[in-house]
Amino acid sequence: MGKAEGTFPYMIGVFTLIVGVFQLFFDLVKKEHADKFKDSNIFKVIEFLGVLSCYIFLFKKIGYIADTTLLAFYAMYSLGYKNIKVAFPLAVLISCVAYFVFSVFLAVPLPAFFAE
Amino acid sequence: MSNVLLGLEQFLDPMVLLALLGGTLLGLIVGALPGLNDSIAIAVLIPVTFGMDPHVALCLLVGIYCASACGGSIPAVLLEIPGTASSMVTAWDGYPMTLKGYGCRALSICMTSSFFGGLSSALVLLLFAPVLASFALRFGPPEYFMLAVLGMSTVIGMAGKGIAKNFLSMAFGLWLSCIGMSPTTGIDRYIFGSASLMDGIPLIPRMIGLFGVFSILRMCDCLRKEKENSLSALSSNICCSAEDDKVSLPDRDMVKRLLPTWIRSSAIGNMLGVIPGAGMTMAIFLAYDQAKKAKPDLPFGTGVPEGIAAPESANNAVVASSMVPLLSLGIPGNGTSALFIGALTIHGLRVGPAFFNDSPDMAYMILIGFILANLAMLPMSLLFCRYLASKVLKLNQSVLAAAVLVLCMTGSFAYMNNPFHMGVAVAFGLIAYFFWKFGLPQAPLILSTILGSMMETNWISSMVYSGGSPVVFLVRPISLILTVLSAVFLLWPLVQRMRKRFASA
Repeated sequence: MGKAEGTFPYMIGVFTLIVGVFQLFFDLVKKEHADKFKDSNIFKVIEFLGVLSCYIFLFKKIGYIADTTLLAFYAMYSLGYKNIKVAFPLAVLISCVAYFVFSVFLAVPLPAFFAE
Repeated sequence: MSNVLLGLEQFLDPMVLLALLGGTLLGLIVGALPGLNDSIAIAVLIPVTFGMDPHVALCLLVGIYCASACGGSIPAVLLEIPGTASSMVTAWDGYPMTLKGYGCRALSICMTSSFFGGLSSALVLLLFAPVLASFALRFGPPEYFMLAVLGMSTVIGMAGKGIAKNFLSMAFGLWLSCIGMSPTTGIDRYIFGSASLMDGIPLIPRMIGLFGVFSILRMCDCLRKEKENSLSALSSNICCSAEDDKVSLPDRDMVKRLLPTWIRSSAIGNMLGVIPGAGMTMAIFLAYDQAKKAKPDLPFGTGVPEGIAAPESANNAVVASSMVPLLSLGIPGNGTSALFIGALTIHGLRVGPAFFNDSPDMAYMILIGFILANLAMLPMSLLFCRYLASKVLKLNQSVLAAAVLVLCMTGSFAYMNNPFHMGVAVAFGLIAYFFWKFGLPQAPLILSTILGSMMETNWISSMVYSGGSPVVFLVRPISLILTVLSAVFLLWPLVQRMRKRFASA
């Protein structure tokens, strides 16, 4: 590899890329950017991402309707709709409507209850 | 003329007319749902239309194609989540106008602009199809490459002060477009062992993530910790509608104001729609940029009517004009028009130069169908918005967010029935979140991921064609014009800024 014509320019290119990444990192962690997270509810964002990951993981395990009902309920509850007596039936309704639109109307094979 | 009358005669059959109207309504609904688009609806309905009369089947598909680009602007305006990729630019001014309490007015401008653009492209298709098809044939790899560069330079040129961030966003998008199989050698790149990435990062889940999932993450980010347990934790982002805000045809003053924008944007959409592969995405960005340049004093991005009219008329102008290369040459203008080949094949029809001679009733029925679909789309869309918009604006934000999230995740899965694509949507939602946090613009990222593979393929083809000489981009007339335009769009904002600096000094 060291003897090839393009080795040295390649190494310079890689070095330039690494320097660029470092520059970007140091620029982004400057105070003006760090302050952007000051008033953010970053934990809620991380929590939401975790829930979405669980949703994808459970998608074919517990079936579309059950999984989506839980997701919809969590989304409503965590975003501020605390009335559980209304939120849960609404979540079931949203899931069933989405199931009907995609599975029955558009013939998308959504996983059934406990498909796997 | 006799062929036009022959095509018009097909609509005397009530079933054909009903199919056209039904398709238009279905297109509005499908376009308005994030996660669904015209391609999915047409792909699903093609096998269903197998048993139908060919005239009825094609009118149904024409109606869907016409109206879905229009329908996609509804959630873009009301929720800042484009229903279709072609409506993403509409959200830049549509949503701020909704926040000001004029959501219905924004929707009225959208629908009317879509009607103007759609009707203009339908007339272009009817009157100029053969001429435009011969123009499209002159585009080779160098022209396609420079067209992609033109699209990028337009977006970079819109940057204003943050040009470095635009370049960074563009570079990241170009890298993302390299994921998957190399177009020339077939070697996989950056797939990290995942077979699902062999075809690259799919467009629909990517868009769903960048807009739909991101909007939910942004809502989470803005959730104030001290108010998390209260019912009104989410401050309603949508202000109450102004008393004079309603969905209706724009008044004479607004029409007079928007007419130049409609004409210019429709021309851009028609030109780009005729060129296979150029697509609605490039048309909407170019049209928006030109609208900004035409009226530089207006505060685009804050709810300016021209900012809504330009992309909406451009994206609908692409619809019928993308059928020009398809019907005349058998070359689809974009992915959706490619599906029409399947639909026509199922019914025993072959597109190409002989189509107009062999099946004049079908050919002219399609052409007139686009005109009638656009004529029907305007009142239908206004009524649809009048009864839908008021309901959506009254919904609790949390409930609406949950419904949108469900549609987005299901839509990502429905793309290719692969849960991996839901992960793609979530990943891109996270990328968009970080872009938002650090002030990096999304537009160059979106455009470069779409145009990147087109650029690479045509760059390689151009280099093979010219024996490795980049002079090929300058010796071909159309390519030269595109090169000059790209340089102008890229450098003009810099020149303007320098002139202002000298003037103030």
